[in-house]
Amino acid sequence: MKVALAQIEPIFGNWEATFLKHKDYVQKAIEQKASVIVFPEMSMTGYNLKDRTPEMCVNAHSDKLREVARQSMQIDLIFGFPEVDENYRQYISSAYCSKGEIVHIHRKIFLPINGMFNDSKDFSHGSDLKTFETDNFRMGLLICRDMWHDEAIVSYVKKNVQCIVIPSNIPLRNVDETGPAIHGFVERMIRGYAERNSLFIVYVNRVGFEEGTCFYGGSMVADPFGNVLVQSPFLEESLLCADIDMKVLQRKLTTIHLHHDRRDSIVRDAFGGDER
Amino acid sequence: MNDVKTAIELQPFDTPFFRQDISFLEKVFVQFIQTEIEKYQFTNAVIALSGGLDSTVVTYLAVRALGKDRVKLLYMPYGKNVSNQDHIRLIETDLGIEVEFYDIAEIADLLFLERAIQNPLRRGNVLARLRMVNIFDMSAREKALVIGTSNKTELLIGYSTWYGDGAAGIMPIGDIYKTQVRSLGKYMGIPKEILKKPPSAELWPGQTDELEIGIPYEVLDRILYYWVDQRFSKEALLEKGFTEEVVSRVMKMCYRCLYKQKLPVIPKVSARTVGLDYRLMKETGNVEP
Repeated sequence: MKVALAQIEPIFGNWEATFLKHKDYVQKAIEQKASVIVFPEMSMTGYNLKDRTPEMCVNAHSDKLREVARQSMQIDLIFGFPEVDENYRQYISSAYCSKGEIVHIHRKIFLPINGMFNDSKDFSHGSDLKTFETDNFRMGLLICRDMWHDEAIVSYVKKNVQCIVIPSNIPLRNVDETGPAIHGFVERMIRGYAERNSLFIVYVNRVGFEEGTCFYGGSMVADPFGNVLVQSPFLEESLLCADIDMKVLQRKLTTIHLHHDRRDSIVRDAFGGDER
Repeated sequence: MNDVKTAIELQPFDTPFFRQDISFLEKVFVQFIQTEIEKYQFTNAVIALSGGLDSTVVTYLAVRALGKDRVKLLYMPYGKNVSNQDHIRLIETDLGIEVEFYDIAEIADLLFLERAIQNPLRRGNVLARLRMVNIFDMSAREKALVIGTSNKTELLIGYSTWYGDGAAGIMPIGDIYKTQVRSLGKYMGIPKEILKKPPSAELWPGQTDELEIGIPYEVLDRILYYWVDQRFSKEALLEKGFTEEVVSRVMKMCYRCLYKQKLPVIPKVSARTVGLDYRLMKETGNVEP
């Protein structure tokens, strides 16, 4: 399966203009014969919507969202948007679309409020981790901060997910010898998850500035051995493709199959307690 | 006095906690300037160039971002300052750019005389605000965004004139410390004479920042880095070897100037208040309502 990483800069608060950019990237990914294209978190609108959140939010059944989903006739599509449900609760969501239809929506579960973040001021948290199939791969979606939390990964591992897709909006803070210091952490985390849990991870970050907040890019794909298959450049829009090969996963699982010695009683012990 | 000299000669970036990929930083700042100019549909940038480190580094960043034809520079000395004038010439030659001169002495002296302003601090603030008036007027003439030159050290300790040099549309180097600015300047190849001279706000002849603040930048920046960025407690800072007197003074400076970092305070009596809970990003300015 060929995955295209669409590391774009959304045009802030401008759904129409940003939709055109999505269409353009979808076309390019089709030309590169990708089976699925992944856009970052909140790719249709930008991230810090603040007081404009209610007017930018769309319902899962809206024409606006269906119009985007129609771009998935020739290629599967994952894009990000602010969602509103029938009870006027707002979510940071990513939709997986295939054959012109929305197949699955993941709502961001872990909403950061530390430092520069304020997700939970405008958004409610999602609560479900559901899997979906694409190109014979069992997939799961996490959005940005979701990936920090082991329990989200463990939940997908229990569901035998083979590839976790993580649309993100990770901003720059601290610059070290390698450039964006946070990237080292993200890379260690992604490679570690992929290697330890024997799965592929597709991580797509955005680029561009919002009031000085710099989203630095560096999207990547890690394989079940913890290798980085591709990494997008820092600070530039780009479209990169990676081949995700079931045979690699098979080879890894032949070498070491942790599923055999997993103990659900320990998972329950670790994550079964009350919320803090 | 000796301490100050030593600090200027030292290379603080040899210490691990400031080691950075400077090319990456440069790229962020260059891209930031390009983005902001484009986003708000300005044609050009204007910078009040003093011939000091900060404004020189910002000028080099802006020229790299926009090209020299779109960067308009204004040098506003108070009377003759031979050494700074030489440094302005160095920048002109190096970048192949012309710097506009405007001596603010005549207008400032008139104000000093008619309003009987003798206190050096008041005079310094008047000069900073006269420069602000001029640079903003020039920005209207040039359809330009005013690029500010404040660094993180001076923003944190409030070493700037409120609505004077602190007034600008954007501040590309506002999140790096003075010692980091010097490192960036060195990396970008600004003239050595500017890199080496003691930083000065030039509020009066012979004034240097480090003598006036009383703490060398190398020490000041480390304290700020550990306290502000790394959130060390006061006790932890003392354990690092900084003296109680210096640490307390730095903290006090930071707390006393917080007003300069914010919009003027408004008593909240309505549903949504400017600066408080009327939360719209500047980028919204580009959206059709």
